[in-house]
Amino acid sequence: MIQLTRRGVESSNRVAVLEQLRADFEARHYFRIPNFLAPELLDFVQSEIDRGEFYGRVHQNIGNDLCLRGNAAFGALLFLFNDETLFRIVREITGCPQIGCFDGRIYRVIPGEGHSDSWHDDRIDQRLVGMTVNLSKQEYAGGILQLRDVASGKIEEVSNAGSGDAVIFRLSDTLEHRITALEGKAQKTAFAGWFRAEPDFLSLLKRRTAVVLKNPADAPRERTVTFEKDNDETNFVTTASRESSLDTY
Amino acid sequence: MNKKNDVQQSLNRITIHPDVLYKRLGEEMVLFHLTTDRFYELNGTAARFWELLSEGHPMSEVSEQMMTEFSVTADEFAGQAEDLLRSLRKENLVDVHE
Repeated sequence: MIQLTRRGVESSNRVAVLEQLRADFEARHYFRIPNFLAPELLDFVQSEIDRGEFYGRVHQNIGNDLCLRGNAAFGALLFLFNDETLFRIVREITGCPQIGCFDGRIYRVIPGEGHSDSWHDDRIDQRLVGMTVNLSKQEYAGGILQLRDVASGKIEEVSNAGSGDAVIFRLSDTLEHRITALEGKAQKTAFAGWFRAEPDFLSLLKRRTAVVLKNPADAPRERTVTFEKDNDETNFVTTASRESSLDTY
Repeated sequence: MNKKNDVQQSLNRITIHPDVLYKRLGEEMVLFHLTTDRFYELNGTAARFWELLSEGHPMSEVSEQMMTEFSVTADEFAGQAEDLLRSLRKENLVDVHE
């Protein structure tokens, strides 16, 4: 049992489970963690998404979808996914190098809206391993993650996950992936991103974080405890400029 | 009542807001407020102060530990703690229980 709660990742860490996941990853380039998001966390995220706003995004030469304009759903997931226990588990299963951070976004695709995805490998920005978590409230059809061996053309299909399930998949120069078009009427919402070698989480946040509480008392001759604000944009995910920076990932 | 007693009294009525997630990253403490959707970074002494607060230590122990670790006098600590608490309260990161 591996589950993400508000307290972080909780894992029974049973050797047999990890070995099975490792075998899955070795054979099929991915493994699944059912019910990865604890129910209370999933409820919180979905309710925040309901209150959120999506905007259209174009991924150059790849496709287009909707991206959640920053709110607490994204912030909470970003905070919680950057978890040392999770990093350790992912490393143990995938054999990837040291993980510095997890970075991602919440996206949505809607049937009939022209959203699309095409084969790509995500091998930029020191990305090591991919991850997608289904946040959809309803079961959807289509929208399947496919992994393709570049040399042989062999395709591995990852059947759709249940709400709160996570799928962790290999990123490699010899492997591409895409999401197939949705079928039916239900939309798909997911938190997707990458475990990256760099930067570390704090550095990632500092690139985006607006409020930094600094304690000058750390300087030997300064004893005053105050807050300093880097700027007045106190929420890094609600400003257009910050979102634009997210677009580059 | 002196500053030290003021802080001790106020700290005894302060708890971390239940909607605040936090984790230590090296020397820093990173906080995320689920309600306000804001990230915060506490460094050095502020991080340690938060850590002791989160562990539920009584003020006497917090004060004693901080003075031991950071070589400050009781009055210096009281002044710093008061400033820090004011800021934490302003950001709604802690709850004050009257």
